[in-house]
Amino acid sequence: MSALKEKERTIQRPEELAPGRDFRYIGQRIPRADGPDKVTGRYDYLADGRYDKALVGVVLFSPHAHAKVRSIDCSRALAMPGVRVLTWEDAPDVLYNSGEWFPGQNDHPDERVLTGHARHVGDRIALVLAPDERTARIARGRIVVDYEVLLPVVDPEGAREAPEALHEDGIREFPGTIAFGDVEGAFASAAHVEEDVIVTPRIHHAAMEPHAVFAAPRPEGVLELHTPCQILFGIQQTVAKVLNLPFSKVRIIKVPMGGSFGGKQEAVFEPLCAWAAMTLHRPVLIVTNREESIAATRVRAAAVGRVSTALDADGKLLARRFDVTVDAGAYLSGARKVLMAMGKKTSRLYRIPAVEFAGRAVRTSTTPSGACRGYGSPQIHAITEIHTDLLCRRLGYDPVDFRLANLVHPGDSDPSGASDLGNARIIECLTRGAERFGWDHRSKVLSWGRWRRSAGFACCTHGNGYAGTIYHDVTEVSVRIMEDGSVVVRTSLHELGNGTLTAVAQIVGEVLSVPLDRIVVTEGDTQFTGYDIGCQASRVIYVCGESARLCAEQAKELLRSEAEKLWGCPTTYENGELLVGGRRLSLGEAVRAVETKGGTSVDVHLTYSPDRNPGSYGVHFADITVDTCTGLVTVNDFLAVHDVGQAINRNFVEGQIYGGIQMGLGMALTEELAFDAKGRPSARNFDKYHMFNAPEMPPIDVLLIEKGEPGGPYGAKSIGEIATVPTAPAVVNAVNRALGTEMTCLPLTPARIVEALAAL
Amino acid sequence: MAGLMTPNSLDELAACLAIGNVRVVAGGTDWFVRDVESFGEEDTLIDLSGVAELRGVTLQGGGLRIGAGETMTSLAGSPLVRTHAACLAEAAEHVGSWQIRNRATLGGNLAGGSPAADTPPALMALDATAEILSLRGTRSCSVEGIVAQGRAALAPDEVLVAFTIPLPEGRISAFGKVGSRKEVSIARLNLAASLRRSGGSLSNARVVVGTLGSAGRLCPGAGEILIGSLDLEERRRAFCSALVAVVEAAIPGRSTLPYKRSAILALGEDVFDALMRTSDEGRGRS
Repeated sequence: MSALKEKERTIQRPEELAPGRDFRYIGQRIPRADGPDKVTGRYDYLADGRYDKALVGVVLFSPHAHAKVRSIDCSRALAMPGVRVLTWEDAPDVLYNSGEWFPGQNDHPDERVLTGHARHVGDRIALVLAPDERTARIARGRIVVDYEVLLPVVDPEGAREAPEALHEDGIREFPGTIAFGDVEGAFASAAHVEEDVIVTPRIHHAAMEPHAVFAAPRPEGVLELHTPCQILFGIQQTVAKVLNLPFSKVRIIKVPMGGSFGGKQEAVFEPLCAWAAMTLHRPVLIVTNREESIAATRVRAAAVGRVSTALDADGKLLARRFDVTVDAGAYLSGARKVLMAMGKKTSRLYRIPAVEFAGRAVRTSTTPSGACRGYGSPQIHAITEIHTDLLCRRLGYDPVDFRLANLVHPGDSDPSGASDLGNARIIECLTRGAERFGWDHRSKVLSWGRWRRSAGFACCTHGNGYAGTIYHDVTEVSVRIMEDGSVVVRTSLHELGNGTLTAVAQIVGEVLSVPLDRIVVTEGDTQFTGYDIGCQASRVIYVCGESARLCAEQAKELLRSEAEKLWGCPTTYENGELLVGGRRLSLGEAVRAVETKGGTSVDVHLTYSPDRNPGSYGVHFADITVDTCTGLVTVNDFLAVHDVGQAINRNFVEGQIYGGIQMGLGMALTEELAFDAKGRPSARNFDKYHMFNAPEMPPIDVLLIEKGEPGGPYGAKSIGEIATVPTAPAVVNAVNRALGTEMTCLPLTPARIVEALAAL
Repeated sequence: MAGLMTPNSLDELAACLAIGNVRVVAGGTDWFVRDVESFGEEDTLIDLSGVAELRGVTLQGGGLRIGAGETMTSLAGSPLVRTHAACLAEAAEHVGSWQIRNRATLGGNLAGGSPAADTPPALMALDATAEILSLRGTRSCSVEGIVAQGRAALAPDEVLVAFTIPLPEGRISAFGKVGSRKEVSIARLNLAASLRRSGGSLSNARVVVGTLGSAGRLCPGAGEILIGSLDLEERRRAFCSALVAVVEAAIPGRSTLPYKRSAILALGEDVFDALMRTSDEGRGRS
């Protein structure tokens, strides 16, 4: 096994990263390997499978936002044949934090697998099990729970002053700060100071597959868990903690996933399912429907952000101050991590000499928040980019020129001390985008009848892994060239539905010149594939993709050098064949010879940890029309410009961008999980929770800036999360420009737009 | 044990109704989402979708007869409905999604009792009468009357068979809707209006606003203005103002009032313009 640190290797040289290189697979439009099965319905998701002898579990959820269970009567449910019920009284008294993915991260634990103290509508009181789902649901309906209803806390600003903390730990807030430079001095000497408060909504991920998980006790005390998750080893450590098992006895297998967007990143039903299986000595499948997935899993954290900007007389940024409250929901979950991720972005888009970011995650009687595509990045960029447009308007700056004067440049460092920004091409994104979009004429406000039309844009940055943060970034990968010259790449990757496995196959295929239909890339299984910190933090292409490239290079060199040794003459690897002396050998022939005569298999295992974590960059432009009577916004046209370094698969990159924009448009205009004063959700299903649907979608033009990112495979860097980051502020800026309003509370629903117009 | 009956004719349907504890569904698009969980083991579900007499769009004795089992898709695409009951075709076209419209029926949209339903205001604007079947025989009732009674209008064993729309000469109509999106959206407000034009004059206006607490609210004041003598621009403005007054009177103090009183202006403009456009075209042809 060879461990590889970046210092010990040569990253690809700029000419190797240059776009327009004659690649065999990189940058091509290659169909995904799982596509045909998915569109013909042959790709079974977890809930499609058959599980012999398994019990199907449905969770009894609290109908109250804050309540204590006085008593529970399960007798009518238990009278049904085959029905079992586990309640909070049976559950282990182990507290965990669903957002903690590595032992010792010390994320405050405040959640149990089941609870008698419900802290949101949808909190888990009991698990009802039966031989089939229908019986389990009927049985659940026969359970009678007597609740003592308590006062909920719904407003995150109120959570700090609530008379009584929602949790027995008594903690009101989980603060966090990031600061550098002389903020006081900058504000004192500023020519202009501008301030805004921006509110971003709680959002449902809306993956097509609702949450499901399967657990089975196996021989020798092993618990086996099948889950469509994003962080196998994170799930493993949480389950091990709840069950008090060694990690080695907890086997987590990543199974086909129908979308996550971060919603399946945290441990939601996995600890409960594992505990039920071990307790009952039976395989257990927990399934949910859409309403349960909306109310009882995770949401994008709502945020309230106050931002002040100090400028000199020429419009140069001197300093920024942030005061941010993140609504964790009923349990802390990953919300404080989201808060800190928001803070980390504030020094990586504009050159700002001094920043003070102060915030807190607070718990309320609402659905817990957690990871959601962008992990705080859409929230913080909504805060800064809406504010930036408003300050430009108030001070008379052109929003393009103002940004061009302040945006970061390639090679800039991050004054907060985090990783350098790398080949940061945001200025190019903005200048080329403004030209392609026709910003100069589209940004004018047109007015006819009750309609107003104009345009807006927003800039953003996002990361590429964890290098330079408090978290480690480690991945393992194996490449084995097989006896017929086909290739297996063993990874602990999680295919989230975005084409990860095919993209990694393209990278390996490019190195080895092996056709992609002869390469299989595995997903993770904690007993058989190596360690990986999970498909999170936009690290998969930049970190895991690079590790696959390096590993494939080593496999190639291993085969070449073994062949050279075996035949004793100069050997080269060319176009997927070996040239040994004057002889051409197929990969299969060479591998068979090396194995049979040389006694060596061509199987390379690599552990990789990156030293770099550059920024990805993007700008979105939106052309919109507002009906001033109905407050309905039509998005007429859209341009997405992204600095991706190098597209690995052009279809996938565009697909991520289309989907990211669809989510961002929802955040801007329609999507919001609100709660009333009693903590009841305003929307329980898609009848009231309105996503941006196909007829609403604008035509989308994509412009990729591909200038190569050192340290990424063939110069590639992240796109999946950043694709949704600038969308909402671009649309909000367009609406505010068209109407002359200063709306800062997202989403801009028809009612909010009509209200803002009435107040003008 | 719960049962399912699938009658193919009104006679078979009558026999099914006789067994008691019945639930009747046509397209089932609301029922399967909303009510399937409350379906008891002693209940019997009657599926109306096979009953032949519930289908058909025909001209009969100076009226347009529409089977209550006609789907939204078939109404939206029916030349007879488009010609004689334009607002109904437009309303049907704006219900839910393609998949919903392929299943959902005209009768179900009214019987479901939702105040946000799209076709009841259109039926009311067209002065439609419903034909209702039960074991006690057949009765008829105006759609206006059914809407006014809300969910109590139909007994559990009563089935809507057909609607008859009178066809006075020269009638034109139009429909408008505001939801959260262009498609797959429940109405926050909808508006249907019809009037007669003969020669140069307009008469018999019926203006109906939906979703203000009931599926249809007749607005005689707005109707008078529609056919009144003001010039076009003033009439358009006055029509919209009258609609605002209707909204204010219907939902005073409601949190949704500020929004609805603004949004109704858009519906007023659109429906007014559509009617006058049609009216002009009519004059041009004659």
